[in-house]
Amino acid sequence: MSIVDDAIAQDVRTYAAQVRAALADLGQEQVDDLTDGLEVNLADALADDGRAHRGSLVDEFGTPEAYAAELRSAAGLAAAGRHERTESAFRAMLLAPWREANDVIRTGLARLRGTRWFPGVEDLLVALRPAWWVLRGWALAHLVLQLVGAEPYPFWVPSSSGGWVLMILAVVASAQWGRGEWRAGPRWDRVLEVLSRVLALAALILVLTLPGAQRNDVAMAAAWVDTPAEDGVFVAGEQASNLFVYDADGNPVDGAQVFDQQGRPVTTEPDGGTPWLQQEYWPDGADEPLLHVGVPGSNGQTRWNVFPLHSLSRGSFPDGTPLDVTDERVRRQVVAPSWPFATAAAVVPWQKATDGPQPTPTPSATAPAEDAPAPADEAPAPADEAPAADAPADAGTAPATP
Amino acid sequence: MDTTQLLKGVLDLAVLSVVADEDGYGYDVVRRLRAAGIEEVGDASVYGTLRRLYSSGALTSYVVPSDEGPHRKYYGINAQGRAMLDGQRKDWYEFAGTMQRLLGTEGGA
Repeated sequence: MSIVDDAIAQDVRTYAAQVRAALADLGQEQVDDLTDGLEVNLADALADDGRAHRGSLVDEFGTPEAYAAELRSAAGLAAAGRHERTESAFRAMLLAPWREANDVIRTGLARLRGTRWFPGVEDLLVALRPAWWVLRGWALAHLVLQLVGAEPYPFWVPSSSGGWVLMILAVVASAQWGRGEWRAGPRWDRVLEVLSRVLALAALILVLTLPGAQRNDVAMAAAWVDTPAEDGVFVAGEQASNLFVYDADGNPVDGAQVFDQQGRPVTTEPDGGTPWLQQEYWPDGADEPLLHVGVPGSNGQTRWNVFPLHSLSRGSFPDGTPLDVTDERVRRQVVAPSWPFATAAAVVPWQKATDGPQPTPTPSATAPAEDAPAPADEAPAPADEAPAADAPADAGTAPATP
Repeated sequence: MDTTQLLKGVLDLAVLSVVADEDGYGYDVVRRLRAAGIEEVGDASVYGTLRRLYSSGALTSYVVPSDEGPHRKYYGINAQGRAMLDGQRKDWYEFAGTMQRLLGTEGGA
């Protein structure tokens, strides 16, 4: 079938559907009876070379409504006028936008067809109709899958085999209906026509929004993957959850403060102080998870670089208000961690082994106040002696001891 | 003079006559009517008439399958249709004779 034939066949189908719609008040059986073979008759008339052709189907046969009226009266059936008047106001209201849209489309199309360039474009569009059928089936499957919640995220192709089956069925149905292979009754044709237009709109929206939605998805996934751990201590590729410090003799050191080369506090709890982000730990047999808690510093700040970190059960955290680590009741509930070893093997520290140069301490004898407030029992450094801004730079000048 | 108005009264007769010559399908009947000189007849009027004559029992109908195109519904005349055709033909001749005499008398005087 050539493109032109195909276009004519579609015109004929549309015209026939409109004739049937105009006869709809007669009842299904009579409409079928009266319009049986209508498409063949119209196509025969258009194909008749002996006939003076006047252009469009409307030019050739009159409006579908007039054609229907002629058919009806020649068949000796009541005119439609009375029935149309009894159409309920509600129905008329419902159908008004549809009819208006149809009028706009019809007049717009007629005007376009009057132009010099449109027929060529129309030929092209008609040739591209199979693509529209596939798109329509795709949009239908898309809507169904999203409505039933099978595919909650934007997608081009379904992620499940069931989704694939549905999409293939929808595309086949759409194509068969588009080709006129599958006929429904005139009423169904109207419903399908409405559905088809809804799907056209849906397809348009999907095609316009999907690439953006997908880009967002990809960007979010990439951001998730690319985001480096902002803080924390890694051991053999795993994030350490706690640190245990032993002195040179191998004895455990409780309350050891750990800093890096620039004097920044080292912590295994990057989200320390934000209980819903913190890692939960489930000791054996516990019915509540434990969360690490910081240690109270001198100025009321909670310190997270004092090891080993102690824990508190989730239920002991107050609702809404931040945990007050200086509260006596809280302090009583804190659970001490179990040390990996009672004692570690003793080592010989450099200071004892050699008489070589000692690492020069930074000018700030104690850690900068805002990063790591000095514990209360230590003599706090006067603020002018340890300016905060100098600390990292000064630390950089200190020779690193391997 | 608007012959479409005249035609309305005799379309049944014209259609019966065409189908009596030879069975025909929808557009085929339209084409043969036009070929016979009845140019003004609307396609839909012919189809409606065929439908009505069939419903009233004057025509038979059968579907002829086609390998290439769509199936076509043919109409043929039956005994009742022939009786109707004969009756209407007689009426037509009588009416036409009356009209001729009337017109001939007035025009030829």
